[in-house]
Amino acid sequence: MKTTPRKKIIVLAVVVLAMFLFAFLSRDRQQKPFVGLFQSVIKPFSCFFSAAGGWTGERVSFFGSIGELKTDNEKLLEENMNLKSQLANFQDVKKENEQLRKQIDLAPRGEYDLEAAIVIGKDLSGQTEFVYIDKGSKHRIKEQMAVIVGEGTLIGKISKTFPTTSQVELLFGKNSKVNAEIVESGAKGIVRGQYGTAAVLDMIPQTFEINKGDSVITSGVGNLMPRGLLIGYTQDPVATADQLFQQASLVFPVQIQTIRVVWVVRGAK
Amino acid sequence: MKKTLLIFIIVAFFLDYSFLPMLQMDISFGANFSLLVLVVVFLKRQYVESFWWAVLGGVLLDYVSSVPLGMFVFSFLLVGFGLEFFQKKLQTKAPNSFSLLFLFISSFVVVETSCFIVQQVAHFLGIISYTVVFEFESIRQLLFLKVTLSFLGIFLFTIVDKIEWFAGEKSLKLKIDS
Repeated sequence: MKTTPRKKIIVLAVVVLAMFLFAFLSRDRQQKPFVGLFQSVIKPFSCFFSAAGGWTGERVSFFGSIGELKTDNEKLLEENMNLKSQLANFQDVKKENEQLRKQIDLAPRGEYDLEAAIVIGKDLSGQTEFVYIDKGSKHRIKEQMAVIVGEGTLIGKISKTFPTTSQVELLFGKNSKVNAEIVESGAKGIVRGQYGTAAVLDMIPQTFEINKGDSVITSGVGNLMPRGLLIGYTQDPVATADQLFQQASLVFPVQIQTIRVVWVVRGAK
Repeated sequence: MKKTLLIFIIVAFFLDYSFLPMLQMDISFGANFSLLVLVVVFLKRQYVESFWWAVLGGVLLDYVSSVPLGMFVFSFLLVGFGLEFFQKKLQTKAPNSFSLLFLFISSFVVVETSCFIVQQVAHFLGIISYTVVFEFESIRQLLFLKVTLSFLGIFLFTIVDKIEWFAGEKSLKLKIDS
């Protein structure tokens, strides 16, 4: 069968047009047909390749860091000396921390109904803000549920659920918005993602003072987001253009892009 | 041969979706291994033959991206178009390593650019709510990755070339023997 360039262009145009029409006319424009089934089929293979990728990544970063071991070792020795002297002071800080937790309702991790999940893949549209985890609606996971790591550090929330997998929108996602509060002053605001690489604490009234290094936690306003999850620390506070509010960029306590195991907060126990 | 190609495309999809993002590189990933396999297919086969492989590879990637169906399919078909044009220019000459490197890197550029444009159009039509920006902070890492993958592509092309030559020789021998 001989195909002329004209025919090829027509085929290409028809395919592209059909895809756009399909996307545009579908009820949920971002929802693809049979996506749940597709996710269920690829899940076991994704788990395997994700584990293999994690294993390889660890080896690559290990070999990459061999050259830095000597300097790192010297730094660690110095750090160890400093830490020993600081240890005594931390006993007092620990007590203070416990008192603060009681005051601000910073819920300890044991109080949540958690579901452990593994990151099995990442969004391929050139955006770094979505990851896929290996637990879905079958595991009682719902949209808007908080996703945490460690002792209760928020990294994002569930944006879509499928029967056996879920999509997580990370904190720095362009559409990500989380109601937040500054621990030190009690000022309430919104943490917004920026360009898929960073996040800012926004809408803080001018009457409150923001200092560099203030802790920002979830305020608990919102359906499924519990109060007291650590979001990050403030940096470089500035007034907004209209001078009505203040905003500050946030430093995350964990490197969100490299996380492989997360916990979904299904609610309080 | 079809089965082998199918396996290659599926494995490339999982490498893109689950393997590469876990290597702890702080950059966004798009189509990488899938594109490598498809470029080799496009260089080895006619456009009409490769068309459905490009659609398959594109649909797989589209299913795990947050944009409407069609972005990667469109990009891959565009790359196929470009490669066929290039092959016509070359006529019967087989591409050397330099031209292959150029082709792989250009394919990556075409895919990245067309994905960017499709996302902008989708945003304009209200299909996606976010605006798309290039992350210039990670451009060096991205370049390094794409060039490394392009060399891998040349290697893959050479292997396929050798296998095809070997298979051709074998069938010729069989014919002579019989």
